[in-house]
Formats: sequence, C-alpha cells, structure tokens
Amino acid sequence: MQSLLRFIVRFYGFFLFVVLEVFCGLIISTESNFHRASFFSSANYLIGNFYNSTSDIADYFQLKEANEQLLSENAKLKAALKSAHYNKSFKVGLVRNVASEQLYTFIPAKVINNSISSLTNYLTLDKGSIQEVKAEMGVICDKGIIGLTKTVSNHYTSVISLLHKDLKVSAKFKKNNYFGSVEWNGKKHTIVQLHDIPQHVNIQVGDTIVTSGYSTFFPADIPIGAVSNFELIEGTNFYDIDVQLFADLQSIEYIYIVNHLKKEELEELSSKEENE
Amino acid sequence: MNKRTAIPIIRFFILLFLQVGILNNMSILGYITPYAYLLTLLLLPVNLPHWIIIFSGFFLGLSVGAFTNDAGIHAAATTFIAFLRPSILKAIAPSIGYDDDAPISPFSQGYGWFVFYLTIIVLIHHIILFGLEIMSFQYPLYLFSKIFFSTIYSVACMFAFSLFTSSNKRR
Repeated sequence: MQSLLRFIVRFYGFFLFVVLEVFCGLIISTESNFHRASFFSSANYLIGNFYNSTSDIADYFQLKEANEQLLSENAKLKAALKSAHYNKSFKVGLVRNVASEQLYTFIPAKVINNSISSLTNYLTLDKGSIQEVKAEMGVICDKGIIGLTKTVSNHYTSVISLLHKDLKVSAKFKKNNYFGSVEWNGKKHTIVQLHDIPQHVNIQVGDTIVTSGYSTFFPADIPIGAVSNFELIEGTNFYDIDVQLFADLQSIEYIYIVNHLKKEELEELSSKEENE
Repeated sequence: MNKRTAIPIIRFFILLFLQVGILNNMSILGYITPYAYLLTLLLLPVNLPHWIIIFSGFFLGLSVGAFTNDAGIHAAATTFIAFLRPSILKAIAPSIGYDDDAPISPFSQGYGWFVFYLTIIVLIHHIILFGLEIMSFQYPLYLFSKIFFSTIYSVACMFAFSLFTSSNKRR
C-alpha cells in the first residue's frame, strides 16, 4: 500500500494528466452529441455577453448591407401579399383558407459570433430561452438554411452550422422532388454535398435544391443552393453532387429560428411507430 | 498578489481577448487559423511545480475552447503540451541554461532558441488539436497542410507578441 502511494506521489504529474485527459474526453463526447447541451459553450452567459459587445462594434461597419438585405426581403414579402396580386378567378364566393392553421412561427435573431474556418463550425445568436428558443430548432435566413440550435441559455443560443462535418439536412430537387441529404465535406464554405440521389435522376447544373420538409427542423421548400457540379460515384448507383449555397454563411447577420408548433405531436407519433 | 503571479494572469486575459476577439477571425484561405493563446502557458517560469503547469494548461484550453464550442479538444491538446513541457525544456536546454525564477523570454534565452521552442510545442499542440477535430484520415492532405501552415502562422504571431511584452533586461 505504502509503496503504491509512493509510486503515485512520485509520478503524480502523469496521473493528474491522465485524469484531466479523461475529463476532456467526456467534454468532447457531450460536444459531439447534437442532442445534448454542453456546459462549455458559446451560449454561456459570459461568452454570450462578450460576443454581443464585440458584434455591437462590428455592426456599425455593416449597417448599409444589413439595411439593403432587409429592404430586399421586405420587397419580396410585399410582393407575396394578397393585395399585390390581381385576382383572375371569376367564380364568385370562392372560399379560401377554410381550415388553415399556423404551423410555423419564426423568431428573429442576430448572429453575434460566427466561424467558417474549422470543420466543426458554430454560430452564436443573441436570443435564448426567454424568447422561447429551444434546442434542435432549425435556423434560416432570407436566402437559405443556416443550421440547427444546440445549447440554449437564458439570453443566448449556440447553433450547429450547416458547415459542421456531422450535420445532415434532408433536401430535395425542386423540379422533381427526388430527395437526399445535404452534408458538408469540410472543403469550401460556399459548397455543400448532396448524397443519396440515384443514377436515374436527370440532373442539370443549376438545378435548385430546397429543404424536403420531412423533418420538423425546416419547413418544406426553403432554398438551399444550386447544383454546381455532379458525377457518378464509381462502383455505385448514386451521384456525388456539389451544391453552391445561396446564402453566404461567412457574412450572415440577421436570421430566423424556426419554431414548429406541432413538433411534439409529430415526435410522439414517430416514437409510437418505433415502439410497435 | 505579487508581481510574479499577477503578470501571467494579466497575460492570460490579454491573450484570451486577442485570441477570441481578433485571431479567431484572422483565418487565411478559410482554414489556417493562428493560436497565440498558448503563449500564456509557454512563458511560465521553468521552476513552477508540474501540477500548476498541467492545471494551467487544462483551464487555458477550456476557456479558449468554450468560445468556439470545442472546449474538449482544446483542453485535451493544451493539457498534453503542459504535461510534456518540463521534458521538452530539459531536452532542448540552451547552453547558458535557464534562469529558473524568471519567465521564459526571447531576450534571456536567445531568439533562435525561443523560436525553436515555440515551434516544437506548437507543432505537437496543432497535431493533437486538428487530429481530434478531424478525427479521420479521410483528407490527409487537408490535415497536414492545416497543421503545417497553422504552425507557421501561430509561431509568427506568438513571437511578435512576446517581443512586445517580455521584459528586455538580462539578469
């Protein structure tokens, strides 16, 4: 016993090192798990406040771009209003929206920290559980999708970027609804890869890729990008497709968090199916 | 708090701010990022007990990594170099030896030695950091170029920073 103690005391540095490295391993495993909030995250109060104040300074240099972006988005939304359309229907008494019910709400937020240089990129947003942000909500901007919320604190949220090597998003061709999943290979921050599209699908450069709406994270038909390059993977029946993103993830500032109002009902249903 | 403990703590906060506020946004080509925060650990005096060095390395990695949501891999890498630091210092001891109580600085041990010392430790750190980040050998060229160029970038930033902040008087 005594000699064991003496041994530990003599090599205490090594034991301390091993214990701390094991602890690091535990942190890494919570961080790489998308379904668990991590304690050491940029949603942390101190870190959130730090990024909030640095982004306040940087904002002044981007006011013009931010204004133009909001203006163009407003114009798009105005054009979609009912009053902006000429009604060609000549039937009288046409009933519209008989049983329409709100399915999604959107929480606006500002990006206060962003990264594209690592393989596991994250963003930090200035909204948190006070604004009813929850984990695993989709994040979109006017031009496309951004990512998925992970850790939520009272005032801040960390978001797994679309530019994270482990994030997969269900996506489809706008023209024929063939669907697959979009993933990032870690190379260029403007290009993601679309997988699982079979050989018989007719693909052209420039085809638009949109969200499929099969998950509760994103509504259907949110634009993602356009096909920029494609080739058949050797020895398989599937294509390797490069998709040029519409949104520039390096310079996004204002985004929307997608709140699916029937999420629990859907999840309950799919968990029932799994149990049967 | 005396001057010997205050200076490393102040240096820690300055470098943390510099790292997460500025250097993290100074990537070249989208993937080569300098990590100068290691200097906090590297400049600690030679005769500090091993456990202080290891704990400093651990907390240094946790605090910098928390900002980018990868505290685990940063802490793993910094703890590792903190553990190795005494052995490395012994192995590459300069002919004039160390001034045990004083912080390590480019002025007391010489520029050439200092850059050599930085390069060895930064290289080990980057191999572990990026190795853990990528966790696969799917893109060996990407991994090697990231390690190689980031090491050069980091060492350059750290060398510049230490020239400005280390005290120039030889004892």
